[in-house]
Amino acid sequence: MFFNRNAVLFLLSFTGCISSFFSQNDSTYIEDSVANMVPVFTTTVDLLENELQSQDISGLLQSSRDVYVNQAGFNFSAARFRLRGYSSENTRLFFNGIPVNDPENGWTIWSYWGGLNDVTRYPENKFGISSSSATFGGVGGYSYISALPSEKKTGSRISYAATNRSYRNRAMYTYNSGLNNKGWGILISGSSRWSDEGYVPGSYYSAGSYLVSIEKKINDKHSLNLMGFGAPTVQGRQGIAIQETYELTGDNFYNPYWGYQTQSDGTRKKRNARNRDNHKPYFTLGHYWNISEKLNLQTNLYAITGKTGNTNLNWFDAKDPRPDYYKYLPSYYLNNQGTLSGNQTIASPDDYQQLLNAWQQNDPSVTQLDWDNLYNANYNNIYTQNNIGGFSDSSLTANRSKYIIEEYRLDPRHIGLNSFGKLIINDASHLNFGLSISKYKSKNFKIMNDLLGGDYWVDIDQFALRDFDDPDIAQNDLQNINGIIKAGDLFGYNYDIHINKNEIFGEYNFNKNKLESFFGINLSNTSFWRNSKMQNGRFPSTSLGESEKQNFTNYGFKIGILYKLTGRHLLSFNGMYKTEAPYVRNAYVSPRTRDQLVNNLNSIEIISGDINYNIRLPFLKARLTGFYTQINNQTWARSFYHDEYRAFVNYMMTNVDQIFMGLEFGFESNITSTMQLTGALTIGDYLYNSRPVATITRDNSQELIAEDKVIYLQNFKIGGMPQQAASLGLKYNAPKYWYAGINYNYFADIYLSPNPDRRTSEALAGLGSDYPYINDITNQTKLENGNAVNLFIGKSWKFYKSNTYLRLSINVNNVLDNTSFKTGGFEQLRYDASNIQRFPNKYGYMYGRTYFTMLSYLF
Amino acid sequence: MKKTKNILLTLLILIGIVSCNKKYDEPVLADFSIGDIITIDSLKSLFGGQNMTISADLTLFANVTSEETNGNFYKEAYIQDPSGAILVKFKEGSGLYIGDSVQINITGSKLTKDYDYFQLEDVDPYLSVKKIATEKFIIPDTITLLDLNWEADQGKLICFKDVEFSGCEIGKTYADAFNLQNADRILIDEDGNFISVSSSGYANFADQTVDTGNGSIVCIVGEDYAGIIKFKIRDLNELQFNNSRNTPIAFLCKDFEDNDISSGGWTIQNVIGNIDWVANDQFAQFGEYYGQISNYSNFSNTSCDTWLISPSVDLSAINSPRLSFYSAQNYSGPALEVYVSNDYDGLSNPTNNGTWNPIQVNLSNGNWNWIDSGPINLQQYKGEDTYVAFRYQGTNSAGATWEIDDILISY
Repeated sequence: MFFNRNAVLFLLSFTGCISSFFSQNDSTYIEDSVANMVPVFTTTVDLLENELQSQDISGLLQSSRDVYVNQAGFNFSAARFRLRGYSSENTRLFFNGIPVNDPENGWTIWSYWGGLNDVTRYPENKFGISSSSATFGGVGGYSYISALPSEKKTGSRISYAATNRSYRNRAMYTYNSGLNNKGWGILISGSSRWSDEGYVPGSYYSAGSYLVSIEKKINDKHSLNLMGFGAPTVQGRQGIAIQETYELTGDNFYNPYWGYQTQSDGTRKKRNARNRDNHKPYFTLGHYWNISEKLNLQTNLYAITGKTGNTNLNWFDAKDPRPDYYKYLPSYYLNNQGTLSGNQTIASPDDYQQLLNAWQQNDPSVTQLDWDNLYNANYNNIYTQNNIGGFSDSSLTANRSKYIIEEYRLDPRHIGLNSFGKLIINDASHLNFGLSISKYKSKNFKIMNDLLGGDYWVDIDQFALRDFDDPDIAQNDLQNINGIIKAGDLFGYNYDIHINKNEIFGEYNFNKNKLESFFGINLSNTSFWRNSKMQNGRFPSTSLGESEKQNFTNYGFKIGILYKLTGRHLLSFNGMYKTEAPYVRNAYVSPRTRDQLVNNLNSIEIISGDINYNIRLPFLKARLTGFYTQINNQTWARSFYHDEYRAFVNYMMTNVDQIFMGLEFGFESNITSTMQLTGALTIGDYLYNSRPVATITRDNSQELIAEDKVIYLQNFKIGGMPQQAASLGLKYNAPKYWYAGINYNYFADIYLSPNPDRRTSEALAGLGSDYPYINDITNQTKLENGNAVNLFIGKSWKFYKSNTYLRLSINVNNVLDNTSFKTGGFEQLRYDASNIQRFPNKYGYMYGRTYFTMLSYLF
Repeated sequence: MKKTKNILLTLLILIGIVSCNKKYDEPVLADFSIGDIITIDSLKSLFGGQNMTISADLTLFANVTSEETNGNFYKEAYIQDPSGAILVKFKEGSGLYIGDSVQINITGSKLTKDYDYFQLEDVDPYLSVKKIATEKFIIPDTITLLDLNWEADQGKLICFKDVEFSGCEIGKTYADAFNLQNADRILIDEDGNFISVSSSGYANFADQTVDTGNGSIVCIVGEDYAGIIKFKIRDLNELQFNNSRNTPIAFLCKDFEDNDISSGGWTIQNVIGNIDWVANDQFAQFGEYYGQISNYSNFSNTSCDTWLISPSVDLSAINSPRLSFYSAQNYSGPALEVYVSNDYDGLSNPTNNGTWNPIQVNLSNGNWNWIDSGPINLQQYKGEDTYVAFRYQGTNSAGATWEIDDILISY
């Protein structure tokens, strides 16, 4: 069997030097010929530069058959559109039987299987509250990607794509044998995507992917499947910045994360400080059992392992190396009137002008990281560390790094069993049911990635060292006092998060004549805890060992009724009520330092309903939907560095209620046999619907900065996505196997997520009611509306002799090269109420004109 | 077989294009210019009377005697070589540590002199400083407070023996950690000579109360913005106050050093007229400020009866509380009177309220001579609410000027 050898080779080929990361903007393509050219979002806007978190999660539903979802899925993601405003934890995704929503935050992160587009291309999608076979589903729906050889198209497909987005080249190969006469089948797929520098300066990309799925049909009743996949990916990331830096540099894709490093031959090489390096392999053994004609059962044992890593600079007793640090920008030296403030470091107009010129001329020693200087600071820092390991006679004299690259790791160790089946009761009714058992652990720690020319690092907290006279308080690891850290060593923190979750669901479906209906119910139990292997000097009694377990029992109901007025006019109603355990990512105040839980941690409550009208005429398909959803009792947790406290501040809100309501409309109309007109429209209103309470603490002290602080968030808009979006497209399908099309997309009402602290009475305390800038502090930032025009064209050739196909497609997104459309950003959590412009918003822009050209050969 | 070939070929291509992690060469060590070597003393002698920017290529070789780790020093370091010491101000946090042996290229730095105190300013700690070795600790010279030579000792690390914080300072913190303000604490030797120890509100020991014992202290001879000598602690562990105090701890203390007459709960009662006590810093002998009163202004005297009254002090548990203060006086007029009361209400006109017992004290004999007016045993007047009052009286034709300082009740 030739394919076994190939499978081995294939696996080997991608476990070499490739390491990994997540793409945030690839891999969202489902269909990669015409329709799939998803204009991808350019930045990691969300989540306040909080490492480990910012991922793009859109793009699940692009190949849906739903007339609205299909268009919205690939036309709107350029502006970080989210269907009905939901984030991805509200959609449940299965990859060949493996539930792949991240247990810690619920997200589905497509880059973990980026480059496997040939396999992920046609998932089963159910959007919104729906009947679903493998799970109860989320309020956003459910998707199932199959990777069974028996269910995929057979043959080989090889393709090469050239593009100018986050990567520039993609090569992909897929082969599916189908089942042979002995019941064996294999599906293999692999790809490689790379760029030395992507669309954004300083970004780069290097990714592989592999998938091997072997199927054996034992008899009519039993089939087995063994599958593994992964996508090792390394990426140099893009950061977003404040408007000032975009204007100074004249580049809306200014990236503060990179800088030049002089090489031994004297040339300078761009180096990025923020790299993702991910490789998360998934494995499953599946059993497909037709128990009888009326009952079948699919059971998957699965395991997920690997690593996710994000690097960043850190420094000790040295100046901030980031070029866009606010004190290095020209504006820092100006007062409210826009004149020189007479600050000590830049007092003279000449100095100011020099700084301004450096920025405007894009002098990389000012606008970017200066790696040579960082190395030299480390070369020149001979230091004697005494009392190593707490031993008074142990000391080391060598260059102590002032600057380092550290890597934050979150390595999953996840096993589980997922089983679901279908029981046909009679012609009109059937039952879907399932059981899921999941044991999840993530290993969270930091390792020394690069000492940047120094010899060692000491594992202590600089800020605590300055703040407390007791040197033990500064220790990150009390069991290894003044630990000497070399490249590859673990330091800083080291804890596991455990999540155990068991879930069952059942769903009764009744379809007869003009009525289709379902009623579903689920029940789950979630417990989670933290287990730290490091005792932190700031929190000696709450940092080490196992924390108390948190237990949540949750349930849900859903119902749906579809009534066919005629075969061409359908009316439906769906409703859902469910509760969900809070996500661990928001449950701990500061899991890196201690096991303290957020106060008043409660289950999330979701209430949702929608009403739909579908038309299916020969020349027109359309859907109109009204929806209303409340997601209540959410928790919101962020950490950010605050210069004045000289510490990381942990900001937590509980009782965050949100409302998502609006209208969706989509249509597809065949004007002639060759011309098709499509359109999609969303009018949404996504709001905060409560006054949450906040607790604020510091990472380096027991002190509580604030407790039960009331946040006046009611009626603020949920930020980070357009609340309104519209698309109109025209496609020409030529009889001679070519096509061309154009799409116009319009996005409106994008807001920035509000910084909660600016919406408190404390923020305004001390400012008189006639203070002219109060609105600047409290009003929410609304971005300008924007648009993008996309073109696509393609042709295919058939070679009759060999019965093979060659296809060419070209997509150009944002044809008009609109580079001034801000699609997201955030308000900095740190702010100065007396001068709100001191810590201005950060913005990310939609990419300008980009192309994606692909040649594929099917044989 | 054809398929196998295709698959293999494809795999090889894919393997070929996936590149490894990016690799970077380490940049080379930047050159550090030395030029001519200069000592701290000869650097100071370059000073021509005006603040100057050093243009010559000059390098100091010196040892670092202070560091910024605990927050008491900020963007600065004191360095010392055999010829002397100097304060170096950096553009950024220096990243230097006590004991570092350094080369500092001073080209482009500023040499300044304020109130006879030299500073080297605008030094770039990254480009102009090279560390050569660590733990080359300077051993401080042990001197007495009287030995201090301002010219030769400025910036130096020194050690004083047999000193203690003034009885007035006990119970206070080294600095104001809450408002992040500096504070000065008076340190005295056995002969009553004193110096100020100044600490930053940012120091991580700012909120600790001063050491009560007697012993030795290692500190840097610094200066404040007004040209007053201030000593700076590097590390609290360098205060070895293990012996018992020579002078008592105060239960009440008024040293006027905060330039405020009424701080600490002191009140002024104007029974007649509106002549007030003021804080004055002219010719101070004990610290920088003292309290003063005079009814003479615009060439005439004003009739007055002004009381300076202490806050209530609980002396009930003290065996033999003693009052002491310093006084000075000039010009003729009624003598200053000192009273003690146990039943005053703290608010009212003292001539109507409370039983005030006059105390016999030694007062200045005039001519601005400061004399020690204590100690006075208060045993017979002690109570839970004990008040001390200084009563100044003048007429339309006469009135002395009285000065008092360091009012202290101790045991």
